[in-house]
Amino acid sequence: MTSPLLQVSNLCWQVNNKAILSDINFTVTAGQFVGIIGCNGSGKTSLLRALYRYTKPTSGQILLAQQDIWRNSAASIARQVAVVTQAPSSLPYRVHEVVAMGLTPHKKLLEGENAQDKQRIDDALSQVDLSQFAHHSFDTLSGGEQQRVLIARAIVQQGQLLIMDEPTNHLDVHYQIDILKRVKQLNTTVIASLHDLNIASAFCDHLILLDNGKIIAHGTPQQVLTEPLISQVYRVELSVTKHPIHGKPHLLFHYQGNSCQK
Amino acid sequence: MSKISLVTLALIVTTLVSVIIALCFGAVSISPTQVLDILLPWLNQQNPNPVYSQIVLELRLPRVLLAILCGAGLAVAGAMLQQVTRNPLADPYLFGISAGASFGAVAMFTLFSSLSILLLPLAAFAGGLLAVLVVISIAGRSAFNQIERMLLAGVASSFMFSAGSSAMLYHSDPQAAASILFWTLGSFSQAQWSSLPAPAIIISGSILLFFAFSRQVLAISSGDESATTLGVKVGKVRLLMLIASSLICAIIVASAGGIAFVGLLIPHVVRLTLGQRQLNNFIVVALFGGIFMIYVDLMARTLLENQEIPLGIITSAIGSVFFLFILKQRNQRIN
Repeated sequence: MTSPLLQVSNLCWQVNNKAILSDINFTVTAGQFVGIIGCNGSGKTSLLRALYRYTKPTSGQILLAQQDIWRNSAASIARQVAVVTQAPSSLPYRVHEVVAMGLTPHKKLLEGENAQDKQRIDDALSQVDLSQFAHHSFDTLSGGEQQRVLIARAIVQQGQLLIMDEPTNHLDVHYQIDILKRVKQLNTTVIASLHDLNIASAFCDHLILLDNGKIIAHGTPQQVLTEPLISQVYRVELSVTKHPIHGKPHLLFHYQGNSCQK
Repeated sequence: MSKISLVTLALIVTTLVSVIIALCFGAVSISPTQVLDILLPWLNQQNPNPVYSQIVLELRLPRVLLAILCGAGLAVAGAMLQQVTRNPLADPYLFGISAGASFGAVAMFTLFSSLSILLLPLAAFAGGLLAVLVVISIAGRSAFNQIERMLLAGVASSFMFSAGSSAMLYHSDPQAAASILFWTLGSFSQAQWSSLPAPAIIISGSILLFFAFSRQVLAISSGDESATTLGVKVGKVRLLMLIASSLICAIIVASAGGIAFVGLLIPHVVRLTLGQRQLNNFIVVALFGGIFMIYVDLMARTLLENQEIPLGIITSAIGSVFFLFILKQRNQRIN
Protein backbone atom coordinates (compact mmCIF):
# COMPACT_ATOMS: atom_id res chain seq x y z
CA MET A 1 0.00 0.00 0.00
CA THR A 2 1.34 3.42 -0.87
CA SER A 3 1.63 5.94 1.90
CA PRO A 4 -0.55 9.05 1.73
CA LEU A 5 0.82 12.25 0.20
CA LEU A 6 -0.60 14.37 3.01
CA GLN A 7 -1.36 13.26 6.52
CA VAL A 8 -2.97 15.62 9.02
CA SER A 9 -3.18 14.41 12.59
CA ASN A 10 -4.71 16.04 15.69
CA LEU A 11 -4.41 19.49 14.17
CA CYS A 12 -5.58 22.26 16.51
CA TRP A 13 -5.27 25.99 16.12
CA GLN A 14 -6.31 28.46 18.80
CA VAL A 15 -6.26 32.24 18.72
CA ASN A 16 -6.74 34.02 22.06
CA ASN A 17 -7.98 30.76 23.60
CA LYS A 18 -10.67 30.45 20.95
CA ALA A 19 -10.46 27.23 18.99
CA ILE A 20 -10.49 27.91 15.26
CA LEU A 21 -9.57 24.35 14.28
CA SER A 22 -9.96 21.42 16.64
CA ASP A 23 -8.66 17.91 16.30
CA ILE A 24 -8.52 17.69 12.52
CA ASN A 25 -7.47 14.31 11.16
CA PHE A 26 -7.46 13.24 7.53
CA THR A 27 -5.22 11.91 4.80
CA VAL A 28 -4.98 12.68 1.11
CA THR A 29 -3.56 10.16 -1.36
CA ALA A 30 -1.73 11.20 -4.52
CA GLY A 31 -4.06 12.04 -7.39
CA GLN A 32 -7.11 12.75 -5.25
CA PHE A 33 -9.30 15.80 -5.74
CA VAL A 34 -10.40 16.77 -2.24
CA GLY A 35 -13.06 19.39 -1.60
CA ILE A 36 -13.39 21.22 1.71
CA ILE A 37 -16.91 22.45 2.35
CA GLY A 38 -18.67 24.20 5.23
CA CYS A 39 -20.44 27.41 6.16
CA ASN A 40 -18.73 30.80 6.21
CA GLY A 41 -16.46 30.92 9.24
CA SER A 42 -16.33 27.15 9.64
CA GLY A 43 -12.53 27.15 9.31
CA LYS A 44 -11.99 26.27 5.63
CA THR A 45 -9.46 29.01 4.94
CA SER A 46 -7.76 28.48 8.32
CA LEU A 47 -7.32 24.79 7.55
CA LEU A 48 -5.88 25.52 4.11
CA ARG A 49 -3.51 28.12 5.56
CA ALA A 50 -2.24 25.56 8.03
CA LEU A 51 -1.74 23.09 5.17
CA TYR A 52 0.33 25.48 3.09
CA ARG A 53 2.45 26.52 6.07
CA TYR A 54 1.16 30.06 6.37
CA THR A 55 -0.10 29.73 9.95
CA LYS A 56 1.56 27.49 12.48
CA PRO A 57 -0.96 25.28 14.30
CA THR A 58 -1.10 25.26 18.10
CA SER A 59 -0.69 21.50 18.15
CA GLY A 60 -0.84 18.53 15.84
CA GLN A 61 1.18 17.52 12.85
CA ILE A 62 1.01 17.88 9.10
CA LEU A 63 3.11 15.39 7.16
CA LEU A 64 3.75 16.00 3.48
CA ALA A 65 5.32 12.95 1.82
CA GLN A 66 6.19 11.66 5.34
CA GLN A 67 7.91 14.89 6.35
CA ASP A 68 6.71 17.40 8.92
CA ILE A 69 6.13 20.64 6.97
CA TRP A 70 7.46 22.73 9.87
CA ARG A 71 10.76 20.84 9.85
CA ASN A 72 11.39 21.90 6.26
CA SER A 73 12.13 25.38 4.95
CA ALA A 74 9.41 27.55 3.48
CA ALA A 75 11.07 27.31 0.08
CA SER A 76 11.21 23.52 0.11
CA ILE A 77 7.48 23.36 0.94
CA ALA A 78 6.80 25.90 -1.82
CA ARG A 79 8.53 23.58 -4.30
CA GLN A 80 6.04 20.85 -3.38
CA VAL A 81 2.85 22.77 -2.66
CA ALA A 82 1.48 25.37 -5.06
CA VAL A 83 -1.30 27.62 -3.82
CA VAL A 84 -3.98 29.55 -5.65
CA THR A 85 -5.59 31.97 -3.21
CA GLN A 86 -8.59 34.09 -4.08
CA ALA A 87 -7.43 36.36 -6.89
CA PRO A 88 -6.00 39.65 -5.61
CA SER A 89 -7.96 42.65 -6.84
CA SER A 90 -4.93 44.25 -8.40
CA LEU A 91 -1.44 43.19 -9.45
CA PRO A 92 0.37 45.87 -11.44
CA TYR A 93 2.28 43.38 -13.58
CA ARG A 94 1.98 41.73 -16.97
CA VAL A 95 0.55 38.25 -17.21
CA HIS A 96 3.84 36.51 -18.03
CA GLU A 97 5.52 38.32 -15.13
CA VAL A 98 2.88 37.00 -12.71
CA VAL A 99 3.32 33.47 -14.08
CA ALA A 100 7.12 33.77 -13.76
CA MET A 101 6.67 34.34 -10.00
CA GLY A 102 6.04 30.57 -9.80
CA LEU A 103 9.80 30.14 -10.30
CA THR A 104 10.58 31.92 -7.01
CA PRO A 105 11.09 28.84 -4.78
CA HIS A 106 13.21 27.15 -7.46
CA LYS A 107 15.71 29.96 -7.89
CA LYS A 108 18.81 30.80 -5.91
CA LEU A 109 19.69 34.40 -5.13
CA LEU A 110 20.87 36.25 -8.27
CA GLU A 111 19.90 33.32 -10.50
CA GLY A 112 18.29 34.46 -13.74
CA GLU A 113 15.70 32.84 -15.99
CA ASN A 114 17.03 30.45 -18.62
CA ALA A 115 15.49 29.24 -21.87
CA GLN A 116 13.94 26.26 -20.10
CA ASP A 117 12.18 28.52 -17.60
CA LYS A 118 10.82 30.68 -20.43
CA GLN A 119 9.57 27.55 -22.17
CA ARG A 120 7.91 26.44 -18.94
CA ILE A 121 6.14 29.79 -18.61
CA ASP A 122 4.97 29.64 -22.25
CA ASP A 123 3.73 26.07 -21.79
CA ALA A 124 1.83 26.96 -18.63
CA LEU A 125 0.18 29.89 -20.37
CA SER A 126 -0.87 27.77 -23.33
CA GLN A 127 -2.19 25.13 -20.93
CA VAL A 128 -4.65 27.69 -19.57
CA ASP A 129 -5.25 29.15 -23.08
CA LEU A 130 -3.85 32.56 -22.23
CA SER A 131 -0.83 32.66 -24.56
CA GLN A 132 -2.27 35.60 -26.46
CA PHE A 133 -2.59 37.56 -23.19
CA ALA A 134 1.03 37.02 -22.08
CA HIS A 135 1.93 40.70 -22.48
CA HIS A 136 -1.37 42.11 -21.25
CA SER A 137 -1.61 43.72 -17.86
CA PHE A 138 -3.01 41.34 -15.21
CA ASP A 139 -5.45 44.02 -14.04
CA THR A 140 -7.18 44.24 -17.42
CA LEU A 141 -8.24 40.57 -17.39
CA SER A 142 -11.60 39.27 -16.20
CA GLY A 143 -11.89 37.44 -12.88
CA GLY A 144 -11.93 34.04 -14.58
CA GLU A 145 -8.87 34.86 -16.66
CA GLN A 146 -7.00 36.17 -13.60
CA GLN A 147 -7.74 32.90 -11.82
CA ARG A 148 -6.33 31.02 -14.84
CA VAL A 149 -3.15 33.15 -14.69
CA LEU A 150 -2.71 32.11 -11.05
CA ILE A 151 -3.22 28.48 -12.05
CA ALA A 152 -0.50 28.92 -14.70
CA ARG A 153 1.74 30.33 -11.94
CA ALA A 154 1.01 27.20 -9.89
CA ILE A 155 1.88 25.00 -12.91
CA VAL A 156 5.24 26.77 -13.21
CA GLN A 157 5.76 26.19 -9.49
CA GLN A 158 5.58 22.43 -10.21
CA GLY A 159 4.20 21.25 -6.90
CA GLN A 160 2.87 17.78 -6.35
CA LEU A 161 -0.01 19.25 -4.37
CA LEU A 162 -2.22 22.13 -5.46
CA ILE A 163 -4.20 23.96 -2.78
CA MET A 164 -6.96 26.34 -3.87
CA ASP A 165 -8.96 28.64 -1.61
CA GLU A 166 -12.39 29.18 -3.12
CA PRO A 167 -11.09 29.19 -6.67
CA THR A 168 -14.57 29.67 -8.10
CA ASN A 169 -15.53 32.60 -5.90
CA HIS A 170 -17.05 35.55 -7.82
CA LEU A 171 -17.01 33.60 -11.09
CA ASP A 172 -19.99 32.97 -13.32
CA VAL A 173 -21.07 29.39 -13.84
CA HIS A 174 -19.14 29.06 -17.11
CA TYR A 175 -15.84 29.98 -15.45
CA GLN A 176 -16.60 27.94 -12.32
CA ILE A 177 -16.82 24.82 -14.45
CA ASP A 178 -14.00 25.94 -16.77
CA ILE A 179 -11.54 26.49 -13.90
CA LEU A 180 -12.24 23.19 -12.15
CA LYS A 181 -12.13 21.25 -15.44
CA ARG A 182 -8.71 22.69 -16.18
CA VAL A 183 -7.49 21.89 -12.68
CA LYS A 184 -8.77 18.33 -13.01
CA GLN A 185 -6.89 17.95 -16.31
CA LEU A 186 -3.59 18.76 -14.56
CA ASN A 187 -3.74 15.26 -13.01
CA THR A 188 -2.24 16.52 -9.80
CA THR A 189 -3.41 16.19 -6.22
CA VAL A 190 -5.81 19.00 -5.39
CA ILE A 191 -7.30 20.31 -2.15
CA ALA A 192 -9.84 23.06 -2.77
CA SER A 193 -12.33 24.84 -0.57
CA LEU A 194 -15.63 25.23 -2.38
CA HIS A 195 -18.90 26.99 -1.65
CA ASP A 196 -21.07 25.46 -4.35
CA LEU A 197 -21.99 22.01 -3.08
CA ASN A 198 -23.19 20.77 -6.48
CA ILE A 199 -19.91 21.77 -8.08
CA ALA A 200 -18.07 20.09 -5.20
CA SER A 201 -20.11 16.94 -5.78
CA ALA A 202 -19.39 16.91 -9.50
CA PHE A 203 -15.62 17.43 -9.30
CA CYS A 204 -14.35 16.02 -6.01
CA ASP A 205 -13.42 12.41 -5.22
CA HIS A 206 -13.49 13.13 -1.55
CA LEU A 207 -15.20 15.79 0.56
CA ILE A 208 -14.41 17.13 4.02
CA LEU A 209 -17.30 18.88 5.76
CA LEU A 210 -16.22 21.39 8.40
CA ASP A 211 -18.38 22.99 11.05
CA ASN A 212 -17.01 25.24 13.81
CA GLY A 213 -13.48 24.09 13.10
CA LYS A 214 -14.27 20.40 13.40
CA ILE A 215 -14.61 17.75 10.75
CA ILE A 216 -18.27 16.69 10.81
CA ALA A 217 -17.99 14.21 7.99
CA HIS A 218 -15.59 13.10 5.33
CA GLY A 219 -15.79 10.63 2.52
CA THR A 220 -17.12 10.39 -1.00
CA PRO A 221 -19.74 12.92 -2.13
CA GLN A 222 -22.38 10.19 -1.62
CA GLN A 223 -21.29 9.79 2.02
CA VAL A 224 -21.09 13.49 2.85
CA LEU A 225 -23.81 15.15 0.81
CA THR A 226 -26.76 13.65 2.64
CA GLU A 227 -29.96 15.40 3.64
CA PRO A 228 -29.48 15.13 7.43
CA LEU A 229 -25.84 16.28 7.39
CA ILE A 230 -26.21 19.21 5.03
CA SER A 231 -29.48 20.42 6.53
CA GLN A 232 -27.93 20.30 10.00
CA VAL A 233 -24.68 22.07 9.10
CA TYR A 234 -25.96 24.64 6.64
CA ARG A 235 -29.41 25.03 8.26
CA VAL A 236 -31.29 24.66 5.02
CA GLU A 237 -33.95 22.30 3.87
CA LEU A 238 -33.04 20.24 0.86
CA SER A 239 -33.59 17.10 -1.11
CA VAL A 240 -30.73 15.06 -2.51
CA THR A 241 -31.17 13.53 -5.93
CA LYS A 242 -28.86 11.74 -8.30
CA HIS A 243 -27.43 13.87 -11.08
CA PRO A 244 -28.79 12.49 -14.37
CA ILE A 245 -25.40 12.66 -16.13
CA HIS A 246 -22.55 12.07 -13.70
CA GLY A 247 -24.62 10.11 -11.18
CA LYS A 248 -23.21 11.89 -8.11
CA PRO A 249 -25.47 13.57 -5.54
CA HIS A 250 -27.24 16.72 -6.66
CA LEU A 251 -28.76 18.99 -4.07
CA LEU A 252 -32.08 20.72 -4.54
CA PHE A 253 -32.65 23.43 -1.95
CA HIS A 254 -36.07 24.34 -0.63
CA TYR A 255 -36.07 28.07 -0.57
CA GLN A 256 -38.71 28.56 2.17
CA GLY A 257 -36.60 27.30 5.09
CA ASN A 258 -33.98 29.01 7.24
CA SER A 259 -30.74 29.97 5.61
CA CYS A 260 -27.17 29.46 6.82
CA GLN A 261 -27.60 31.92 9.72
CA LYS A 262 -26.45 31.27 13.20
CA MET B 1 17.71 43.72 -28.06
CA SER B 2 14.80 44.08 -25.69
CA LYS B 3 13.13 47.40 -25.04
CA ILE B 4 14.46 47.57 -21.51
CA SER B 5 18.09 46.96 -22.59
CA LEU B 6 17.71 49.85 -25.03
CA VAL B 7 16.30 52.06 -22.29
CA THR B 8 19.19 51.08 -20.00
CA LEU B 9 21.73 51.86 -22.71
CA ALA B 10 20.08 55.22 -23.40
CA LEU B 11 20.17 56.02 -19.67
CA ILE B 12 23.87 55.17 -19.43
CA VAL B 13 24.66 57.43 -22.42
CA THR B 14 22.51 60.20 -20.91
CA THR B 15 24.37 59.85 -17.62
CA LEU B 16 27.76 60.22 -19.32
CA VAL B 17 26.62 63.22 -21.37
CA SER B 18 25.10 64.78 -18.25
CA VAL B 19 28.38 64.38 -16.36
CA ILE B 20 30.23 66.26 -19.14
CA ILE B 21 27.59 69.01 -19.16
CA ALA B 22 27.74 69.33 -15.37
CA LEU B 23 31.54 69.58 -15.48
CA CYS B 24 31.35 72.47 -17.98
CA PHE B 25 29.25 74.84 -15.90
CA GLY B 26 29.95 76.66 -12.68
CA ALA B 27 31.64 79.86 -11.58
CA VAL B 28 33.94 79.43 -14.62
CA SER B 29 32.56 77.99 -17.85
CA ILE B 30 34.78 75.39 -19.45
CA SER B 31 34.04 74.11 -22.95
CA PRO B 32 33.11 70.42 -23.42
CA THR B 33 36.24 69.79 -25.54
CA GLN B 34 38.42 71.17 -22.77
CA VAL B 35 36.60 69.00 -20.24
CA LEU B 36 37.18 65.94 -22.40
CA ASP B 37 40.86 66.85 -22.76
CA ILE B 38 41.14 67.02 -18.99
CA LEU B 39 39.25 63.77 -18.40
CA LEU B 40 41.03 61.81 -21.13
CA PRO B 41 44.56 63.27 -21.23
CA TRP B 42 46.05 60.28 -23.06
CA LEU B 43 43.97 61.14 -26.16
CA ASN B 44 45.48 64.56 -26.34
CA GLN B 45 49.02 65.82 -27.00
CA GLN B 46 48.85 69.34 -25.59
CA ASN B 47 48.56 69.83 -21.85
CA PRO B 48 45.25 71.26 -20.68
CA ASN B 49 45.06 74.45 -18.66
CA PRO B 50 46.23 73.44 -15.13
CA VAL B 51 43.73 75.72 -13.37
CA TYR B 52 40.83 74.27 -15.37
CA SER B 53 42.23 70.84 -14.74
CA GLN B 54 42.21 71.52 -11.01
CA ILE B 55 38.63 72.84 -11.14
CA VAL B 56 37.31 69.88 -13.12
CA LEU B 57 39.19 67.07 -11.38
CA GLU B 58 39.31 68.29 -7.79
CA LEU B 59 36.19 70.42 -7.40
CA ARG B 60 33.54 69.47 -9.91
CA LEU B 61 34.10 65.77 -10.62
CA PRO B 62 33.86 64.53 -6.99
CA ARG B 63 30.81 66.72 -6.59
CA VAL B 64 29.11 65.30 -9.69
CA LEU B 65 29.99 61.74 -8.65
CA LEU B 66 28.58 62.32 -5.17
CA ALA B 67 25.41 63.70 -6.79
CA ILE B 68 25.07 60.54 -8.91
CA LEU B 69 25.65 58.31 -5.88
CA CYS B 70 23.11 60.15 -3.73
CA GLY B 71 20.48 60.32 -6.46
CA ALA B 72 20.94 56.64 -7.26
CA GLY B 73 20.95 55.60 -3.60
CA LEU B 74 17.82 57.54 -2.66
CA ALA B 75 16.00 56.29 -5.76
CA VAL B 76 16.76 52.58 -5.20
CA ALA B 77 16.04 52.83 -1.48
CA GLY B 78 12.68 54.44 -2.28
CA ALA B 79 11.86 51.85 -4.94
CA MET B 80 12.75 49.03 -2.56
CA LEU B 81 10.71 50.40 0.34
CA GLN B 82 7.69 51.07 -1.86
CA GLN B 83 7.76 47.45 -2.97
CA VAL B 84 8.32 45.71 0.36
CA THR B 85 5.73 47.86 2.13
CA ARG B 86 3.36 47.91 -0.89
CA ASN B 87 2.87 51.57 -0.03
CA PRO B 88 3.42 54.03 -2.90
CA LEU B 89 4.05 56.79 -0.35
CA ALA B 90 6.93 54.98 1.32
CA ASP B 91 10.05 57.09 1.22
CA PRO B 92 13.51 56.41 2.63
CA TYR B 93 12.93 59.17 5.16
CA LEU B 94 9.59 57.82 6.33
CA PHE B 95 11.28 55.59 8.88
CA GLY B 96 12.79 58.48 10.75
CA ILE B 97 16.24 58.07 9.21
CA SER B 98 16.46 61.70 8.13
CA ALA B 99 15.16 62.98 11.45
CA GLY B 100 17.60 60.73 13.32
CA ALA B 101 20.54 61.85 11.20
CA SER B 102 19.62 65.50 11.68
CA PHE B 103 19.37 64.84 15.40
CA GLY B 104 22.88 63.40 15.39
CA ALA B 105 24.23 66.35 13.41
CA VAL B 106 22.47 68.95 15.55
CA ALA B 107 23.71 67.28 18.71
CA MET B 108 27.26 67.39 17.35
CA PHE B 109 26.89 71.04 16.30
CA THR B 110 25.46 72.29 19.57
CA LEU B 111 27.22 70.09 22.13
CA PHE B 112 30.70 69.70 20.64
CA SER B 113 30.87 72.57 18.16
CA SER B 114 34.67 72.54 18.02
CA LEU B 115 34.76 69.03 16.59
CA SER B 116 31.78 69.45 14.35
CA ILE B 117 33.39 69.73 10.91
CA LEU B 118 35.28 66.49 11.28
CA LEU B 119 32.72 64.39 13.10
CA LEU B 120 29.51 65.73 11.62
CA PRO B 121 29.06 62.97 8.98
CA LEU B 122 29.81 60.34 11.59
CA ALA B 123 27.28 61.80 14.02
CA ALA B 124 24.64 62.01 11.28
CA PHE B 125 25.28 58.39 10.29
CA ALA B 126 25.01 57.26 13.91
CA GLY B 127 21.81 59.28 14.39
CA GLY B 128 20.24 57.72 11.30
CA LEU B 129 21.03 54.21 12.47
CA LEU B 130 19.78 55.04 15.96
CA ALA B 131 16.44 56.03 14.42
CA VAL B 132 16.19 52.70 12.62
CA LEU B 133 16.98 50.83 15.82
CA VAL B 134 14.25 52.79 17.57
CA VAL B 135 11.76 51.88 14.83
CA ILE B 136 12.71 48.23 15.06
CA SER B 137 12.41 48.16 18.83
CA ILE B 138 9.13 50.10 18.92
CA ALA B 139 7.59 47.92 16.26
CA GLY B 140 8.90 44.68 17.69
CA ARG B 141 10.26 41.81 15.68
CA SER B 142 6.89 40.40 14.66
CA ALA B 143 5.87 43.77 13.26
CA PHE B 144 7.65 43.09 10.01
CA ASN B 145 4.64 41.00 9.19
CA GLN B 146 2.43 44.03 9.78
CA ILE B 147 3.24 46.90 7.50
CA GLU B 148 1.01 49.45 9.18
CA ARG B 149 2.70 49.02 12.55
CA MET B 150 6.07 49.42 10.94
CA LEU B 151 5.08 52.63 9.13
CA LEU B 152 3.46 54.12 12.22
CA ALA B 153 6.53 53.32 14.31
CA GLY B 154 8.61 55.12 11.67
CA VAL B 155 6.42 58.21 11.75
CA ALA B 156 6.45 58.25 15.55
CA SER B 157 10.23 57.98 15.83
CA SER B 158 10.61 60.64 13.13
CA PHE B 159 8.63 63.13 15.22
CA MET B 160 10.48 62.12 18.36
CA PHE B 161 13.88 62.91 16.84
CA SER B 162 12.59 66.14 15.25
CA ALA B 163 11.42 67.27 18.66
CA GLY B 164 14.88 66.58 20.07
CA SER B 165 16.59 68.51 17.26
CA SER B 166 14.21 71.46 17.57
CA ALA B 167 14.74 71.66 21.33
CA MET B 168 18.53 71.73 20.90
CA LEU B 169 18.35 74.26 18.05
CA TYR B 170 16.07 76.52 20.07
CA HIS B 171 18.72 76.77 22.77
CA SER B 172 21.67 77.25 20.42
CA ASP B 173 22.93 80.47 18.86
CA PRO B 174 21.33 81.76 15.60
CA GLN B 175 24.47 81.19 13.52
CA ALA B 176 24.57 77.51 14.37
CA ALA B 177 20.86 77.31 13.63
CA ALA B 178 21.37 78.81 10.16
CA SER B 179 24.17 76.42 9.23
CA ILE B 180 22.15 73.48 10.53
CA LEU B 181 19.20 74.57 8.40
CA PHE B 182 21.42 74.73 5.30
CA TRP B 183 22.81 71.32 6.11
CA THR B 184 19.44 69.67 6.68
CA LEU B 185 18.26 70.90 3.27
CA GLY B 186 21.18 69.16 1.59
CA SER B 187 24.28 70.23 -0.31
CA PHE B 188 27.15 68.63 -2.19
CA SER B 189 29.51 71.53 -1.50
CA GLN B 190 31.59 69.42 0.91
CA ALA B 191 32.28 66.76 -1.75
CA GLN B 192 35.89 65.59 -2.04
CA TRP B 193 37.45 62.44 -3.42
CA SER B 194 37.99 61.18 0.13
CA SER B 195 34.27 61.45 0.91
CA LEU B 196 33.25 59.20 -2.01
CA PRO B 197 34.35 55.64 -1.06
CA ALA B 198 31.98 55.16 1.92
CA PRO B 199 28.76 56.02 0.05
CA ALA B 200 30.02 54.22 -3.08
CA ILE B 201 30.61 50.99 -1.18
CA ILE B 202 27.36 51.08 0.80
CA ILE B 203 25.19 52.06 -2.17
CA SER B 204 26.65 49.61 -4.68
CA GLY B 205 26.66 46.84 -2.07
CA SER B 206 23.00 47.49 -1.34
CA ILE B 207 22.09 47.51 -5.02
CA LEU B 208 23.76 44.11 -5.35
CA LEU B 209 21.79 42.88 -2.33
CA PHE B 210 18.57 44.25 -3.84
CA PHE B 211 19.28 42.38 -7.07
CA ALA B 212 19.93 39.19 -5.14
CA PHE B 213 16.52 39.42 -3.49
CA SER B 214 14.62 40.94 -6.41
CA ARG B 215 12.57 37.79 -7.01
CA GLN B 216 11.55 37.62 -3.34
CA VAL B 217 10.77 41.33 -3.28
CA LEU B 218 8.62 41.03 -6.39
CA ALA B 219 6.69 38.23 -4.69
CA ILE B 220 6.22 40.37 -1.55
CA SER B 221 4.97 43.26 -3.69
CA SER B 222 2.10 41.03 -4.79
CA GLY B 223 1.02 40.23 -1.22
CA ASP B 224 2.44 38.69 1.96
CA GLU B 225 0.36 35.54 1.86
CA SER B 226 1.04 34.92 -1.80
CA ALA B 227 4.77 35.48 -1.20
CA THR B 228 4.73 32.99 1.70
CA THR B 229 3.18 30.34 -0.55
CA LEU B 230 6.08 30.98 -2.96
CA GLY B 231 8.51 30.10 -0.18
CA VAL B 232 9.56 33.64 0.73
CA LYS B 233 10.32 34.45 4.39
CA VAL B 234 8.43 37.71 4.20
CA GLY B 235 9.29 39.19 7.61
CA LYS B 236 13.00 38.46 7.35
CA VAL B 237 13.37 39.73 3.77
CA ARG B 238 11.45 42.90 4.62
CA LEU B 239 13.63 43.57 7.67
CA LEU B 240 16.83 42.99 5.67
CA MET B 241 15.67 45.36 2.93
CA LEU B 242 14.69 48.01 5.49
CA ILE B 243 18.14 47.80 7.08
CA ALA B 244 19.92 48.08 3.72
CA SER B 245 17.75 51.07 2.70
CA SER B 246 18.45 52.69 6.06
CA LEU B 247 22.19 52.29 5.61
CA ILE B 248 21.93 53.96 2.20
CA CYS B 249 19.98 56.90 3.60
CA ALA B 250 22.14 57.30 6.67
CA ILE B 251 25.31 57.51 4.56
CA ILE B 252 23.64 59.95 2.15
CA VAL B 253 22.40 62.21 4.94
CA ALA B 254 25.88 62.04 6.45
CA SER B 255 27.58 63.04 3.16
CA ALA B 256 25.12 65.54 1.74
CA GLY B 257 22.37 66.29 4.26
CA GLY B 258 18.68 65.60 3.92
CA ILE B 259 17.69 65.72 0.26
CA ALA B 260 13.92 65.58 0.17
CA PHE B 261 11.51 64.05 -2.31
CA VAL B 262 13.95 62.12 -4.55
CA GLY B 263 13.25 58.74 -2.93
CA LEU B 264 9.55 59.26 -3.54
CA LEU B 265 9.75 60.95 -6.94
CA ILE B 266 12.12 58.75 -8.94
CA PRO B 267 10.34 55.42 -8.25
CA HIS B 268 7.10 57.05 -9.39
CA VAL B 269 8.73 58.41 -12.55
CA VAL B 270 9.96 54.88 -13.33
CA ARG B 271 6.58 53.34 -12.48
CA LEU B 272 4.66 55.80 -14.63
CA THR B 273 6.99 55.76 -17.62
CA LEU B 274 8.23 52.17 -17.78
CA GLY B 275 5.74 50.21 -15.65
CA GLN B 276 5.69 48.84 -12.13
CA ARG B 277 7.86 45.84 -13.05
CA GLN B 278 10.87 48.07 -13.76
CA LEU B 279 10.77 49.31 -10.17
CA ASN B 280 12.57 46.06 -9.50
CA ASN B 281 15.22 46.87 -12.12
CA PHE B 282 17.50 48.68 -9.73
CA ILE B 283 20.03 49.71 -12.40
CA VAL B 284 17.35 51.65 -14.30
CA VAL B 285 16.04 53.20 -11.08
CA ALA B 286 19.59 54.14 -10.00
CA LEU B 287 20.39 55.74 -13.37
CA PHE B 288 17.17 57.79 -13.30
CA GLY B 289 18.04 58.99 -9.80
CA GLY B 290 21.65 59.75 -10.72
CA ILE B 291 20.74 61.80 -13.82
CA PHE B 292 18.08 63.74 -11.93
CA MET B 293 20.51 64.60 -9.15
CA ILE B 294 23.26 65.75 -11.55
CA TYR B 295 20.93 68.45 -12.90
CA VAL B 296 19.58 69.33 -9.47
CA ASP B 297 23.13 69.98 -8.28
CA LEU B 298 23.94 71.91 -11.47
CA MET B 299 21.01 74.20 -10.76
CA ALA B 300 21.96 74.49 -7.09
CA ARG B 301 25.35 75.94 -7.98
CA THR B 302 24.52 77.96 -11.12
CA LEU B 303 21.04 79.46 -10.70
CA LEU B 304 22.16 82.21 -8.31
CA GLU B 305 25.53 83.82 -8.89
CA ASN B 306 28.07 83.29 -6.11
CA GLN B 307 25.53 81.56 -3.96
CA GLU B 308 24.40 77.99 -3.48
CA ILE B 309 20.78 76.99 -3.23
CA PRO B 310 20.13 74.08 -0.85
CA LEU B 311 19.34 70.91 -2.82
CA GLY B 312 16.21 70.12 -0.85
CA ILE B 313 14.54 73.30 -2.08
CA ILE B 314 15.22 72.43 -5.73
CA THR B 315 14.30 68.76 -5.46
CA SER B 316 11.03 69.61 -3.75
CA ALA B 317 10.15 72.44 -6.13
CA ILE B 318 11.05 70.67 -9.39
CA GLY B 319 10.03 67.30 -8.10
CA SER B 320 6.52 68.29 -7.15
CA VAL B 321 5.85 70.11 -10.43
CA PHE B 322 7.31 67.28 -12.51
CA PHE B 323 5.33 64.79 -10.48
CA LEU B 324 2.04 66.58 -11.12
CA PHE B 325 2.92 66.85 -14.82
CA ILE B 326 3.49 63.09 -15.11
CA LEU B 327 0.30 62.32 -13.20
CA LYS B 328 -1.62 64.58 -15.58
CA GLN B 329 -0.06 62.95 -18.66
CA ARG B 330 -0.94 59.60 -17.21
CA ASN B 331 -4.58 60.58 -16.61
CA GLN B 332 -4.89 61.82 -20.18
CA ARG B 333 -3.55 58.54 -21.53
CA ILE B 334 -6.07 56.56 -19.50
CA ASN B 335 -9.11 58.68 -20.49
